[in-house]
Amino acid sequence: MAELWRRTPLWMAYAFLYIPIVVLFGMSFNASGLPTVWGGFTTSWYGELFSNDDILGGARTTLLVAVGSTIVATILGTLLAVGLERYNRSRVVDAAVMAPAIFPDIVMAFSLLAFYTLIGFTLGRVSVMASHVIFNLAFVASIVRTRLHNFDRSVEEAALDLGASELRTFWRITLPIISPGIVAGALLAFTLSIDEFVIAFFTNGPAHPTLPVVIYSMVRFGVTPEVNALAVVLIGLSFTVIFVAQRLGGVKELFT
Amino acid sequence: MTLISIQGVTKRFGDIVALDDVSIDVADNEFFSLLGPSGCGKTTLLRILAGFEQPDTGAVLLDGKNLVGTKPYHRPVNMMFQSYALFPHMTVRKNVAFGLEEERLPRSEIDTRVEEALAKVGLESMADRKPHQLSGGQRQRVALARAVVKRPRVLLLDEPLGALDRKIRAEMQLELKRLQHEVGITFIVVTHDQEEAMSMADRVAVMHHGRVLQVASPVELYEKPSSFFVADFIGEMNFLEGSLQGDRFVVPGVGSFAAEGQASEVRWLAVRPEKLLINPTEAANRLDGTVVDVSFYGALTHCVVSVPGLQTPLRANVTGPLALTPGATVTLGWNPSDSITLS
Repeated sequence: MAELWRRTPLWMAYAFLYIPIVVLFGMSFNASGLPTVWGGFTTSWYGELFSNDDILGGARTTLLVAVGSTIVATILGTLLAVGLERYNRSRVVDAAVMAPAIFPDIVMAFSLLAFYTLIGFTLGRVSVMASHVIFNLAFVASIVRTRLHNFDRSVEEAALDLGASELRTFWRITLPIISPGIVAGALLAFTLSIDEFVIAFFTNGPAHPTLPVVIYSMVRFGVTPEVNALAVVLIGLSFTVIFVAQRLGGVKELFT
Repeated sequence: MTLISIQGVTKRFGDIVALDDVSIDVADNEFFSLLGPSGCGKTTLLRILAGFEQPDTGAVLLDGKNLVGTKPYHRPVNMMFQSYALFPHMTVRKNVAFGLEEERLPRSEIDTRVEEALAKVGLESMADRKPHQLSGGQRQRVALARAVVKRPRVLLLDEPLGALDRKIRAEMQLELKRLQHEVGITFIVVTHDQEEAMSMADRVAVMHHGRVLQVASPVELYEKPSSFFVADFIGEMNFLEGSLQGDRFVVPGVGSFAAEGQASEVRWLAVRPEKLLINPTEAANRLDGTVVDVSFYGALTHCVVSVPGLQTPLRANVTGPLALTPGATVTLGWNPSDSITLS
């Protein structure tokens, strides 16, 4: 009995977190189309979802932005992490790297918009991608850094000692050892980019809205059932990515 | 024949002088040891030999050619790291093959030499394991094989036995000696453990505060230490403080003893515990005292004797058991040829 009482807060916390998702999951199969009335089971919303051009277009833009910004942020973030961990002694420079991850999105969004307007950068998919690279870079760099922090430098010295040049050592020793961190950073960057709304809303042109912006414009006048279906698909995707990241061990390190 | 010649090497880290005008010659095929307490500069010297640090002044010659400025990967020198520094993402075989692959040797030669090296350290059956699946002793063997397989002119070993427990340590000591004979490579071993240095090395350099105090064979170091520090650091030693007057060493308030040395410099008379005789029938130098403690260790008995006028009690080691109890009055004696005078 005492055991049950002790566990109650835990289950309440989980309920608070997951009941909305369960409801959403149920509603995505609700034939009535109204959030308050159950009209029987259907999968037709999923069918409609995949024939909606706005949603498909948004998904395409979002994937493009996410993949592009992830690749760029992963390469630059890894190099940045190595540089910071090995050669930087300044705390200010250190803090400056993490700042884009901590700044309020709205501030980032507005300042980027102002900056792009100032330099005459055409707003569109490329400008959103560039904006996403900025905050993704901070996340990738910090994850890779935790991995580098626990790195035994004598392993690199051993490689040099055995005849490998600095570049060969980085390629054959450093990179494989920190790769779980790099992959975890890339996966996190990808998920962050996919559901980012504020920055994508501000720094994009009108031609190719990203998926979150498309959803926003759809639900402005009430929740439509195909958005429920879309949300379920997105949740499934995020869970898969988080699961893979956790298996690779990088995410756990981020939070410890 | 001299293989490595370290000439006047000085190295500073900020205000700290890690190495102060160090000069050492190491012969071809020698088992050489750098011995000293932590912070004495021995590891810095090893890292200069490996090419990870550059000396501020001085030269390191290998076969007469200056190595200073040569990258670690261009030196015919390999190092075994204290932490072993095995590549965690590679199997034992891959670890050992790494150095040969970087030399771009043909695959068949790499394979034969890796097998050979693994056989030499008795790890053939572990070849496909990852480092984290090995015990400490096995990891050390991999590190050794990985360095030896390159057939370097010199193998540097940084505290090679430091991370092992006692029993394996004794085993590996013998094994290192055997391996050195077998492969015929010059070994330079850094250690803070004087027993380790004494039992393995042909010659030992004792270092302290960045300086080399004495370079000698283990027997010479033990029997003829050139300074107070070496006499104190190597083995056990009884010290009497005083001054040399003619051929007598005078200890104020205690007495005078027959000794040799140069009068102006001598401050210490030193006698090894096993050279102190208890109630001797004949010994030129004698001292009376009271037994404080008797500890029996099987082969040896340690007897601690307090002498009026001396601050620290003297220690005498005798073979076998000793029929004395604390409180007994004894006479300690020694022959002048068994004592050392030090400045």
